[in-house]
Amino acid sequence: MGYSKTAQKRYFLEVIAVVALFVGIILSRAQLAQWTGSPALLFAIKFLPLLAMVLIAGSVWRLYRARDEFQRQTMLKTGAAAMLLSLVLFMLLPTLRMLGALPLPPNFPGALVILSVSIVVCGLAFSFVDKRAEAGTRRALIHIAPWLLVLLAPTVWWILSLILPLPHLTLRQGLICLCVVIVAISFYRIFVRPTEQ
Amino acid sequence: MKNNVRELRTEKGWSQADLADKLAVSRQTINAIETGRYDPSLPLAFALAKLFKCRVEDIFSP
Repeated sequence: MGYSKTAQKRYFLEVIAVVALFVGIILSRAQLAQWTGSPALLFAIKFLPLLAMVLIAGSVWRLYRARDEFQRQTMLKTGAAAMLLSLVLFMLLPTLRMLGALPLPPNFPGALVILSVSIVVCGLAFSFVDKRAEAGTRRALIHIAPWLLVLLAPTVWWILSLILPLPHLTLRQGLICLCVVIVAISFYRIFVRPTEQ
Repeated sequence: MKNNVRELRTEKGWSQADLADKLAVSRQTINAIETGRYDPSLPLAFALAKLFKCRVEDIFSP
């Protein structure tokens, strides 16, 4: 498969579809488990969210195949840097917890958050550097603003929750908020700024 | 690696998007080559040379 100009639009459409499926699975999983008595089906229902992950992996692979060589190199660099950063954070997390320097709730989904944050941070960094070289700092900041908001909003919420009596978001609430933001960004990239592809 | 892709492109009166369309790559890739942030692969370098009707070493120099 060669370079396709519409690949990113198609990717974001696929992301919206998978996010809709993921939210549907999260919201209906408990009801499905109640209705069925079959142990095999109960086991399958537990793994339903993995279906969304596999579909997203397929979308990313199709996006990679439809990019040109420079864009592929950027994707690979981002992936490699994200893996390195997540490795460092995985090694730091137990130490910080042991020292009591990271007051996180006991059921905090550390692995999921570390992987997601690493990918977003590295993606933002490479995206910012490339866009700044091409169009200047102001345009680069506008370009990364939506994802920067995704990163900063939960961080600010978490820091404020350490000081103020704010309610803690559950994993389910957090995932649904994240899905809403991802759909909003996808619409933005499909309809508002499709020329930046 | 230095190159004179920008000069060759402006001589022809093409925009970055025009050149990108002719080479089946993105405009960002052309911009990255012109600004020296990316050295193209051999196939792309030969495609550039063929398009500008010159040798690869006429476009790229160490």
